Amino acid sequence: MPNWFARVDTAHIHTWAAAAALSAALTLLAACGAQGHKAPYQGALEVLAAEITAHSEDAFPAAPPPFTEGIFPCSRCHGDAPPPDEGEAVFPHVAHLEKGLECEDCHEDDAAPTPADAEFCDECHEPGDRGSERATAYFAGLTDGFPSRWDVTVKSPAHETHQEKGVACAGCHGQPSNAPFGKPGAAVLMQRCTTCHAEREASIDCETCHEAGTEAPHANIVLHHAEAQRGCLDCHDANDRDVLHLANGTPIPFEQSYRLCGQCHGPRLRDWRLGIHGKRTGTWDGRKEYLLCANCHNPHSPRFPQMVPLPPPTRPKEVR
Amino acid sequence: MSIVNAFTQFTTGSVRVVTRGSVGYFAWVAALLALIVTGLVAYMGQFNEGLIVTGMRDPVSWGFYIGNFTFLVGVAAAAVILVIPAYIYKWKPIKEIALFGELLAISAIAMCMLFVLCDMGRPDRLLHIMPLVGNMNLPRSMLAWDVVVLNGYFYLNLFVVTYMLVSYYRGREPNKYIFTPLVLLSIPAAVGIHTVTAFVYNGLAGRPYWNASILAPRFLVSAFCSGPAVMIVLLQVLRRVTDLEIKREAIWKIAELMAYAMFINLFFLVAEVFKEVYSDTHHLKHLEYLYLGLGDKTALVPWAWTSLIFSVVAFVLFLVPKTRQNVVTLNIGCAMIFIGVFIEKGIGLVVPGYTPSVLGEIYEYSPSTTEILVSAGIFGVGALLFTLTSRVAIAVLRGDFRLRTANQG
Amino acid sequence: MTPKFKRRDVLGAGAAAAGLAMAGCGNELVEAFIKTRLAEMDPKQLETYLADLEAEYSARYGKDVSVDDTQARDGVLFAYGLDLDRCNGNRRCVEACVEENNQSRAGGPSGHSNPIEWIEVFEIPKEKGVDLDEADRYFDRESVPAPGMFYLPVQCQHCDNPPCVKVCPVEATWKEPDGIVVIDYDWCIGCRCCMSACPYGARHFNWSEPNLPAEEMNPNTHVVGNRPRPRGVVEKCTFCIQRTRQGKYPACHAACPTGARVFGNLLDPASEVRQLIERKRVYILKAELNTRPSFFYFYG
Repeated sequence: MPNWFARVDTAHIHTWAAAAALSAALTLLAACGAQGHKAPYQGALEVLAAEITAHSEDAFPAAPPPFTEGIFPCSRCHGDAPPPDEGEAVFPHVAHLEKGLECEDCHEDDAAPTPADAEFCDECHEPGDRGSERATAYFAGLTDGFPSRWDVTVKSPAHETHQEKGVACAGCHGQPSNAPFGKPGAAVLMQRCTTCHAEREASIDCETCHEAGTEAPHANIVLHHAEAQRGCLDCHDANDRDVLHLANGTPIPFEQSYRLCGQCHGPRLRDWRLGIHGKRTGTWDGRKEYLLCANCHNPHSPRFPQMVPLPPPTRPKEVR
Repeated sequence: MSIVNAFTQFTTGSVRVVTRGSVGYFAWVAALLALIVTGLVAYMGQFNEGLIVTGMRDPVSWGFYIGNFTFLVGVAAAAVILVIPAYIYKWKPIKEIALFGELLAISAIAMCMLFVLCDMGRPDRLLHIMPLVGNMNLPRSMLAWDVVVLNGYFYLNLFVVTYMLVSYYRGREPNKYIFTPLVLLSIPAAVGIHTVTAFVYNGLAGRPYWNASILAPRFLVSAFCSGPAVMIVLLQVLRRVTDLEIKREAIWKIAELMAYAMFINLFFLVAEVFKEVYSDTHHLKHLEYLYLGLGDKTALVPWAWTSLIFSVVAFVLFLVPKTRQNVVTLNIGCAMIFIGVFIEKGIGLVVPGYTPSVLGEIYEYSPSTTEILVSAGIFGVGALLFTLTSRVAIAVLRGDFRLRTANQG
Repeated sequence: MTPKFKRRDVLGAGAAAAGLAMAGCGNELVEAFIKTRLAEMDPKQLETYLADLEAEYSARYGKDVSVDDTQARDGVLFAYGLDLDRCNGNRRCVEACVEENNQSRAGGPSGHSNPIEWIEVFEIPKEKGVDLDEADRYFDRESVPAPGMFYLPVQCQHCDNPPCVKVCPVEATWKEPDGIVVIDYDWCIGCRCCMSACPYGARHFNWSEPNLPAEEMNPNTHVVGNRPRPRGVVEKCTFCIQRTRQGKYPACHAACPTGARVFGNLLDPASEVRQLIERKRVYILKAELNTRPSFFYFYG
């Protein structure tokens, strides 16, 4: 049993009840692993890289970002795209959805379509085919050691089956820009899988997605995050694995994980809100985009990973 | 006869003077021409390829060209400043000393301008920096000021020299109401060109090696050593080839004054070294690089010590009356001072200012073959210019080259 | 940037003579001799000038190159922040900068190799503090950050009191109203006085013909920004003027994977960089020189 299960410092446990609940939950988890995880569970271990858009601090992400419901809300009714009128100049919706854009990116609040913002289009459509600057930044060679997904081992996903069922790429992978350290192919929040599976009445048995007989799904999680004082259920909710919870028990969605992190890392949260900490993209004079804590820091082991530096500059002696 | 006419005759006559001479003279001119052609060929290579063919790089962005430029500004300044002691001590051929000083100054300034031209990344945009036609960043840029004063000094000296020579050529004494104020003006101008050149470096706060207020004074006193060294040799030559009455005492006096100048120069050096060594800050690294080397980067060390030893030895030679009055030791002293100051300015001033660079980089600069050939070519131009003008001047002073009024008409 | 005097009138007279004298030397030389300074061009001249540049570059690089001259916006003063606690020396900024700004690459058809990088990343032992004499820009490690080391990227600091601008003998470099220090690549004479004056080593010289392969050429350029430079002139960081004047972040900012870089409008109280200065303690490189940089290092 990994050492982080041993809770040495009980001073940080708020109530004995919480402690009891933790023990029960840990036992359950352990049992789950021991039995080849037969019992279906709806835990979510990965944090989706969510994109938050705000114009100022007032507009800070109180409203849930696009992926909240785990599936495109529009596409549930509309299919892949709204049907165009006969003879109308058509915006290539499908192409854009396939690239991972979501309806809300152009149509605010399910309202009538607004003309696409040229500035927004420029994000991806850079002349000279240089690709989106965000994509360039995020996919640019991080060390091999960086987790392509935080912790979980998943079967090779059945892409064809998903496509046949009408699940677009971004349905699982998010927008490219949303997955800073996820290489293409990285799975996303398991919550998304389970919600969608539940809605479509697909199986949510463990073996549907995870190889039977493999190690416990959590066995590769190494907690390097004040592990002497902390365990799984300090952040994950014992009753609903699809949410996190604050220290006072308030459940919060994964997309608001920064509130959870901010409980301990208050000054960091403040800096992040102001754009002093963390990566911002978009424009300096308007639309800004920023990443969640967990987009850059593995919440289980938050130290920023080592990177391979690009080659050093040429020495003046070699300039000739 | 009109001045214009006389001037025309003077010009055509001058051509005749410089195209006649002994075998030795032609050999010397031919050697200089060969040097110039070599330099020109090297410069064409640089013009086609860019300054990449020099040893300069981003960390050391000025090198041998600008070092030579700085040295020659000193020569140009000091040659004229010699007029002061000549006047004070009432040396007999004061006008002749002034004349040859200004001839030397003209040649030196011409070399300076060529060195700057060769150092430019875009020589094709030379007009951008020319007074009136260009766009001078005045009054802020010291380099712009330097261009102004160098041009001014050049034309001032050119006018004085031409005026004097044409006057003698016409068999008249130069009008002292024209001659004296201009010569007097050229003295502060000489101080000015060297001070402004020092200020080009001095004003760069990011380079502590240059950003020392002693820099301009040191420039002047070291110039006071190198300029007269050339003049001493020159005056001896003049004594030989002309019947000009140049007192030996005058030459000795110049040597003595050089000893004092060298003393002040060494004293300034000590003051500078003390300040850096005793305070022992990062600024010491530049001096350390010059005299001791930084790690295995020791290219300048032998040069620096050569310069220092030559300067000290020359100082002693010129201080002791016996050695400064001996022709052999006098000329050895002159050579040593010239070399010492040349190294000090040409190498020891520019390169250590960049080593280490503002960001701590130690790039060991050494001039490339191109730089050396081009520099040699420019010195060739200067030497040729001086040879030809001196030849005319000597001919005029000796009375060999005079306007023949009888032929006129 | 108003013309101080009608230099062109003077030049005009001289131009005829110069033009005659240069007739044998080819059109390029003649042009170089009588060219008008960018800051003195009237709108019509500027239009022709930019169109000529676009045509020249489009032909040379085989793509549709734009050369714009977007001016500074009112109420904007750019500033940059860099978190020394976050920077891990991965040099992604350097690469992005080179690609965005059309800097000269190593090698090339000229037979020379004169690669230029506007950003230099220094590795310094932690106990030395910001001591550039102890800094190593050539660190070559398998992974960063190395134990005991911190990293300090240095680029043009866009000083409010820029020594480089002061020393330029021909006014080929100046500070724009939004704080960006720029260079007129067609007026620079290559004297390199500014390189000696810059305390940050931010200025770089095209010692040889720059090597910019056509396929790597970024066609979105600004006339005093990332347009291809000729040989023999000085260049430096422009805060990606071609991007930032369009509202985008600089390329180095966009490329930084650690989020160490902060950029924005100093006059906007809500901007990241303004918040940074108010909330954090900043460190200014060589503050004692009174260059008053627009570049603020901080420890996040």
